[in-house]
Amino acid sequence: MKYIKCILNSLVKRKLTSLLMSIQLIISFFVITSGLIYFNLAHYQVEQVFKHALIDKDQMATISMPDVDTTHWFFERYKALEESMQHNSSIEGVGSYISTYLTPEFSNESKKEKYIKFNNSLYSNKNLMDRYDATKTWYLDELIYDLTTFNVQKGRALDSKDFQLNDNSIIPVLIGHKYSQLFSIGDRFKVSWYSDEIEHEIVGILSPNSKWLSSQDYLNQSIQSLDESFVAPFFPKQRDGSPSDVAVRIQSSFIKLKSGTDSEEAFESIKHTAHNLGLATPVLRTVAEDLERYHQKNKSLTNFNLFLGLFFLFITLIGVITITQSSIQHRMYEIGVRRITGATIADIIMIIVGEVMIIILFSSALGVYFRYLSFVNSPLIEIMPILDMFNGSLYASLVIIILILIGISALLPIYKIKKMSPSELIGGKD
Amino acid sequence: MNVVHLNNVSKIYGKADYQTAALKNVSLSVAKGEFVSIMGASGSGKSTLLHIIGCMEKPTEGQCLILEQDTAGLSDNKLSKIRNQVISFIFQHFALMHNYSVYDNVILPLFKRDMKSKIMKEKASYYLERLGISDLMNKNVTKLSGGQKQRVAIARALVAETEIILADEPTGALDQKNSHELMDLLSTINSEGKTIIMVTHDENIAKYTNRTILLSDGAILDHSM
Repeated sequence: MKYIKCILNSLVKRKLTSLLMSIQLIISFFVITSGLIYFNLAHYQVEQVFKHALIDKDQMATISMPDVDTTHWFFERYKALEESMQHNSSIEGVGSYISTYLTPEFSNESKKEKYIKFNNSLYSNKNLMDRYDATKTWYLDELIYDLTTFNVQKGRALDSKDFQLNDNSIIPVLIGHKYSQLFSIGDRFKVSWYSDEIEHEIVGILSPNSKWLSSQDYLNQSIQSLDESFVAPFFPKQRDGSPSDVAVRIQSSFIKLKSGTDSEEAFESIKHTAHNLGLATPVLRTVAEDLERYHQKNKSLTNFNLFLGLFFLFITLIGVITITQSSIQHRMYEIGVRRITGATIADIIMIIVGEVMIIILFSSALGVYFRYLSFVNSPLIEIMPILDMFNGSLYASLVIIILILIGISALLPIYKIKKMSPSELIGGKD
Repeated sequence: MNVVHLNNVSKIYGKADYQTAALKNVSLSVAKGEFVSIMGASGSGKSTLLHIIGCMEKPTEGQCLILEQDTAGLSDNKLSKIRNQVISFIFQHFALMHNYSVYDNVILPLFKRDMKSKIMKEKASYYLERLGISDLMNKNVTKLSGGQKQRVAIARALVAETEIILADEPTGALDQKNSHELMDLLSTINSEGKTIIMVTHDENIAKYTNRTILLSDGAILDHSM
């Protein structure tokens, strides 16, 4: 306690130096935090994909069409290509998923009001462009559903027959656990699809923290929470109703190869069919190849962030050492006075380390907090799991950096003071 | 009882070819309650002698006993304890912490004692009152006159309630009036039982003391009463 009082007193006395040192440290920790986050982001993102999707890296493949468009010509040929893939002896299945905003229509007007009111609170602080009358809904094929890891907390899960719907079927829906406050199993609503109204029925409630891959880019974008979403099987009119429906779902289509299949042979066969259909050669890659490309692409960004973080760490180190050195040099006389009145070297070390520690801890906390705030207000968090990166591993790395900073910046002055006698410390004046 | 006893103390500064002997085989004793002055020309080693007695420096050779304890082999912690609990200092240029208040400076020796802040304040108030500067308690020491600063330094020495007070040219930065007031004060403090060892080059100041030790070129020339 006596040290804390003494340290705080000393910091207040040197408020300008303390403030300048703090500002430098806040900026440095802001950048260092970014460096650490981006350095780990790619690895974390991949880890999350495999945590929430049962993907076999060598058995699963992605397909993309270079000439994708919304013409009937393309639509018919891609459908034919898809059909041929389904019957290919090396392919176990083909599946897609999409996410869209579904606007349910209720028979009861008060139910609609409750729904909008509920969404209002659910979507607060989320960038949903005031779509309080809609819920993000994931439509998927059976092959994709089989890759999911989420569980149903109440009601039933989807089964094979749920994926064999016709135009008059009632669509079974799994709701995110937050909607369990509003809906019950068996509740129904209609969804307008062009001129039709498609009946949906809630059959299950997902467990909290259920997640699935982004429909935009399964590797580069954040894993999506399903807590505020619906999940349903594709209904025919939606999956293949129009050329644009097909064009949208191509970007999140997976091919499952049969076990032991040579992927190159299977890909050649698909490319050959596409060629015969007059389509441009599709780009086919196993997930393992996708991962390789993803890591290659992120390597330079990761290295840059690592360099930036280390550079700022180095600059910070020099800055802190310089300021501490100059501050201690300036206070040699004061330290000498403390020594002649009975302060031990250990007392002086406690005071120096304490001062450096308080400034570094305070500034690093602010730097990290400002970085966090800047991410919270950034559109980046919609597509990258940046906020997840503020975790134990980040804080542990920061603690190590802080300890190194405190240690190195306090070491030189301590060494100097230890070597000098009290009379030398106040020497020159007395 | 001797509170200070030096036995053949030598102090050599520098290394190899650049050695300077600041003290040469100095032996002296100071009894409890004495008021001793150490006189000598500039560079005669009087401040070095005071620093060795004050455990601020270690002798190169010889023994320095404070309250019959040899300080030669003591650790930094034990020497610091002696500086805190046995010896107080008054310096020519006051040795006050700049930009700190009078109160902060006066309570400095109490930092090492387990003392409540209320008691610290009472003690500081008592000695500042006694020295006639209680109204300056919260004032920054940089705003004080030389005489006021020296009184703050004396208050700091007194608040520690140590057996010995070492004063290194305490009147060196004061005018004549303040110098004599200060010496009257030190005489009073001595009469209350404190042992005071003072370095000075001024004979008029040395007259206030009971005994003068004359130092020349690092060696004692004379002990006069």
